[in-house]
Amino acid sequence: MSTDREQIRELAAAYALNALDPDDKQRFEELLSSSPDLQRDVDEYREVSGLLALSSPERMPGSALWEQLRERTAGTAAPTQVVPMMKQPQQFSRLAWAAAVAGILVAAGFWLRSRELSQDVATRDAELARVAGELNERDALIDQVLGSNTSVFTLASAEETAPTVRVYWNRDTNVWVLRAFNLTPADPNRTYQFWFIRDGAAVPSVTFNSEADGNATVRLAGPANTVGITGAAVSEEPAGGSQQPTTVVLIGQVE
Amino acid sequence: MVDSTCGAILLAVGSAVYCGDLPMTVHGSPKPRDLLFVVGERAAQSTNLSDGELLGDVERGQEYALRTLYDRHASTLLGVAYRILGEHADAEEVVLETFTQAWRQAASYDKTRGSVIAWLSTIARSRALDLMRAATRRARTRVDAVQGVVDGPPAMGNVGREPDYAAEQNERRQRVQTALADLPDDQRKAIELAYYGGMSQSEIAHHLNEPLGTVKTRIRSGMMKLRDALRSLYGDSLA
Repeated sequence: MSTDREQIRELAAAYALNALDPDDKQRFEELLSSSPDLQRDVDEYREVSGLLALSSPERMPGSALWEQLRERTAGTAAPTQVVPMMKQPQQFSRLAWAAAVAGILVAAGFWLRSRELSQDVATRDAELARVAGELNERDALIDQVLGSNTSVFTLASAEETAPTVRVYWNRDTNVWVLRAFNLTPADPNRTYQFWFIRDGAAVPSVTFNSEADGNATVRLAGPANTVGITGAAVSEEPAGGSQQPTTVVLIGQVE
Repeated sequence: MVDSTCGAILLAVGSAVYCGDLPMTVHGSPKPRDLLFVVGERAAQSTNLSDGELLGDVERGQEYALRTLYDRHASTLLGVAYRILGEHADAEEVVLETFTQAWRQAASYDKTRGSVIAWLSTIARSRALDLMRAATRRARTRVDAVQGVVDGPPAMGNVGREPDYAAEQNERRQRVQTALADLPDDQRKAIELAYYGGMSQSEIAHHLNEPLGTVKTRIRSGMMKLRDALRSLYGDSLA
């Protein structure tokens, strides 16, 4: 019996990964419900399973994703108010009916006006929030670019009509801001990728794309260890990025 | 170890700056009323708040808290979902559903049972696997998902977050990747087929043409090693 229990206990890791077959899962859960120790094992393995999320390369969400999330969550937290119904009188005189109808009409008028005002406030709220968000974004960018210990250098190509990327490296915060000009948007199955040049070798960083006008601003945190970083580069890569640059578009040295 | 985990990214075009921002933008786009009462106080300190504290504020309907959690974890969850699904748009839908569920069901999070990122990644992984199965792309993406690790995943960009938090997250990421890389190949592959492929142990055994008992041993041994290697990363989050 104890052997069976031991065998079942050994399934905790697979249970946390949700990898048990139905029979094993049923046997495990029967034991789990009466075993705090086993529950602790499961909790721990679930934490390990959760950390496995960090084994995947991060990906950049589209710029509109947060707004989509806001739209989905808007108004879903507040409970709906329920207005209790009034008890209906047994008899209504004509005068009472007229008064009631008039009251309803007045109430409807107020309600419509109130609704219009609410919608107007909501619209203004949304616009104000959008502007506030933009201002915060810009303030954050400016803070990095205007830092007292910010290095500025340009990534350029030998071609006369080639794009350029101005790089601002705030050494105090280790935040990098890239400003690209004349950078033709990459094809849908392609992307631009930023690289740090460390001790002569390219270290992969973020992928990005420019908009139709060829401009882009990219903000990123530098690597934890900045020793040996002498420059940076931008390359065009297959969508998803590469481990090593395949076509260097722009390159420059830290000044 | 690839150094691709070094950053946070924000994209902007022309004079307009879009989201995907660093911590200074934890203010994000809160509602104006929140701007008056929250941004000046709690939200301004949000970079110092733990994930658990933020989720508590999410439960109270504070949008800034959702935004900060989004800034911290959306790129990680998107990476997981993309690894499972192989489609960026589908992966973004998973991220949307994950944070929407977090917004609506923050009260269901039990901090004594694990960290917020473990909770969020469990939701995201589950949704992604459901979507994968529903789309009947299982065979292709399962192999692709695991192959991505065996052959080395592409380096991807990172969404921005607070610099201090980004540095911590980078360290955690490197620890996890190192621990996984230190596993014997057969153990790592079995765990990845379960995690990214959503396979049961018997399905893994069939896929690898190995005895079921061998697969069970590999998963158990591999997970024990990961637990020992990563315990310091989550030790405080469990009761």
